[in-house]
Amino acid sequence: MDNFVLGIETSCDDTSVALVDQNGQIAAIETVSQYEVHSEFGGVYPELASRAHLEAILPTIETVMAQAGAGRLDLRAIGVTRGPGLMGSLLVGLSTAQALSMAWNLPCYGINHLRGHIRSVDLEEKRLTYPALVMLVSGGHTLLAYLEDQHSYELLGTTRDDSVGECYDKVARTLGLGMPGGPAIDRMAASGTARIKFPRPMIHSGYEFSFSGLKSSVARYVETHPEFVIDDVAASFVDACLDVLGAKLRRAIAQKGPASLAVVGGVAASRQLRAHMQQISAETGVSLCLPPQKWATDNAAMIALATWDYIAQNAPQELDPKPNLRLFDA
Amino acid sequence: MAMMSLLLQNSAGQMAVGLGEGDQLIFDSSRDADLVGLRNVQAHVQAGLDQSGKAMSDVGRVFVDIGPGGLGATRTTVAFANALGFAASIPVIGLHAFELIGRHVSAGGERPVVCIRPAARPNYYIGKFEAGVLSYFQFKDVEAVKEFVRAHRHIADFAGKFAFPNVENAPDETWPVSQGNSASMECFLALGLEKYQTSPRSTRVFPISEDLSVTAQ
Ligand SMILES: [Zn+2]
Repeated sequence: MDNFVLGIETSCDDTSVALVDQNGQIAAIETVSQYEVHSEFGGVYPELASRAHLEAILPTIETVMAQAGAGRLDLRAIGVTRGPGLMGSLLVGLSTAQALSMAWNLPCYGINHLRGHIRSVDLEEKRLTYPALVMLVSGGHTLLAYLEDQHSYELLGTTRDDSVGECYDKVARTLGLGMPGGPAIDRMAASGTARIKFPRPMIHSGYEFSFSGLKSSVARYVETHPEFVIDDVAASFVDACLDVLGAKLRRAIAQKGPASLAVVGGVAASRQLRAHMQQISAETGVSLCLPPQKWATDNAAMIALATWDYIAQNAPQELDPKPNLRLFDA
Repeated sequence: MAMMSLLLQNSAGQMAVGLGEGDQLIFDSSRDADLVGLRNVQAHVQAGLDQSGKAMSDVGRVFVDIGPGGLGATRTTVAFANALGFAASIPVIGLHAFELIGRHVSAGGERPVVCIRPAARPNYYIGKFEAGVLSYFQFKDVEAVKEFVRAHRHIADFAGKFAFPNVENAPDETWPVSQGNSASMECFLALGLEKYQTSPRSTRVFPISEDLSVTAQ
């Protein structure tokens, strides 16, 4: 009885619903991707995204409840992403959750999507030991956070412009590699040599990131070197990205002395990034968590698991959309 | 006890929630100063239930405005209506915004009502409400809408929201103005009850949305 949180995630272009227990065990999850809807526009088109969420959300909830054989009495609470994300998309998830919570007489928590990503490390099995450093690298986010314990989030730094994932996608487009850009760059880089010296923005100071200069300098190189070798450009670009991410991580490890280090988000799928992180872990003796890739992208299981933290802390049930919510906001 | 209806209107961008008991309106959030301007559906609905001494389990059907109009706003209330229909297993009836405002402005009179609301620029939704029904509804560009307005300006009333820049051959004194852009909750309840008798019972409705390919170019 009331063992599960119903998690709902609609912040961007995937409609995801999951039932997750207090220990991160997933009873059921269903994620409907809008990739097809948006592919012809070459990006996420907000109007289409919220329309697709509206069409998908209830069938997805029905599917998940049926898969788990769960009814209202099996639910402790509902957790729904309230930001950051696209306003129209957030509103569909929030309104749906509000109606369910009123009809089923259940508490409903508005969840910070970034905290969901960080909690994704512990889905299905407890992996993180505290204090921990967590790096989130995806198409939507780039940030480095320090967690003294499970409930205290300290934002060390975030990006001033593009996310790492955006930068990968734009460089892929410059190189004519198509979408999704990350895996394509990764593949090319594996067979290339990093012989071009691209800039390492902000590598020498602090924890803030900036990637737009790197992206433009790749574009400039390609423009001025018609004979460029794709594999080498990709390898050099990845090398520059990893140098920056690695430098910030090493700095944070030296200053904070964490027990573990986790990398989450879509870019964590990169083989080069994983290898680089393993090297940092070996050098510093800080244990490394690389959660399964299926939990790296946006999903409702991570939102549901984060909801258990809100319940434990008796957090306020804030259900207004916050498109620009930051990590340290509740 | 007569069946309770929940009424959700949002396509004009101003959220209004009502509660009906049978054919009597017992709550109208647009008359509550604390709720006007608030975009959180739950806050409106909860205030309605509290003020009328009712519970969500008393609600037996939902009437929701499905636009056309503000897409984000319409989706917010439609998502709420659908989820309530699902969770409480109650019917959800979608009401066309132009039937609502047409009915409201005509007030049972003979004169047709031309309803206009902006869609993605430079397009408009245009409709004609006459003899108690919406007899015409289209998605048109601004020039076609101006033509329609010229043809109807002496024989119809106007509802909705429209302002055409650079209107030629139409001095201000003859260019029509809108008589209203939202329906009263009494009107909303009456239309909802009529539809409830005649439309198929469903627990899910969707907004009337424009052809998005037009705006995505
Ligand atoms: Zn995300």
